[in-house]
Amino acid sequence: MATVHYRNAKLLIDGAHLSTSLNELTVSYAAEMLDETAFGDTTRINKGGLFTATISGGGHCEFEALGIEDIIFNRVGTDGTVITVFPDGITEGTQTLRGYAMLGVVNEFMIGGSVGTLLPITFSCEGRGLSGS
Amino acid sequence: MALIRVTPLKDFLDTALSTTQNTAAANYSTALPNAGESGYYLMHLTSVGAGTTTRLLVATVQAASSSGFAAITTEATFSRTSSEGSTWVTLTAPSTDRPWRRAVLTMSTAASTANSWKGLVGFGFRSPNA
Repeated sequence: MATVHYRNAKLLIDGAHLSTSLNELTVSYAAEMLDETAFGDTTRINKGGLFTATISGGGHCEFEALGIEDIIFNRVGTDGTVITVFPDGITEGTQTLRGYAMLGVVNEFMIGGSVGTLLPITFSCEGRGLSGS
Repeated sequence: MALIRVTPLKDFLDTALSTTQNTAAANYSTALPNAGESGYYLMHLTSVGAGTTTRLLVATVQAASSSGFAAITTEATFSRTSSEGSTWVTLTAPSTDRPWRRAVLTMSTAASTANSWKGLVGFGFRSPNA
């Protein structure tokens, strides 16, 4: 199995390609666990619940039009933003090195840090189902 | 369902598109949708230069049973044609017996100078309940 040197991730949010502003990018896909345990059980019984997806990241803040600050700030709370991530570049037609996409909503925008650093920006997007905008 | 895995059909994020083109037809037999899965198709347009003749970009995803695309099923037509942004298309019952797929990127009107488009087209299949 080939490992991946994580240095060429891609992030697209709506009409912006933000990869060159980022140095952190994470995709999280999970299912809520429902506790189905009842009296008499000796083991906690979990049942799969609703799915959740989160795409979060961070990088260097840039204030130009269509820069990362402009794109993220203006999409906080906007339903149905198309968000796509590729972990290791983009290979047309690949059926193995695929990316991840969701209709999401930017739920967090943060800038700021310690004096003397490059101004950092972090963000988080939550999935909201795929069938509508 | 919250997340899909995406196969990129056309990457023109760095090398701009300025002419009508079909992507190379590819056989996605290992990525055919299972019964009950929906098709999800996306397009990001990151840069739009409509050129001197104010061209539009009409992008579709087509499926066929053979590489020649003699009988074509258009699975998705993206509504965004003239400005930066993104489009998401959901298809409830994508073809399960047409493994050949391609993106068709059509420039409207006559050839134009200074037209230049950047973006990405991709697709994936997933059960709505998974």
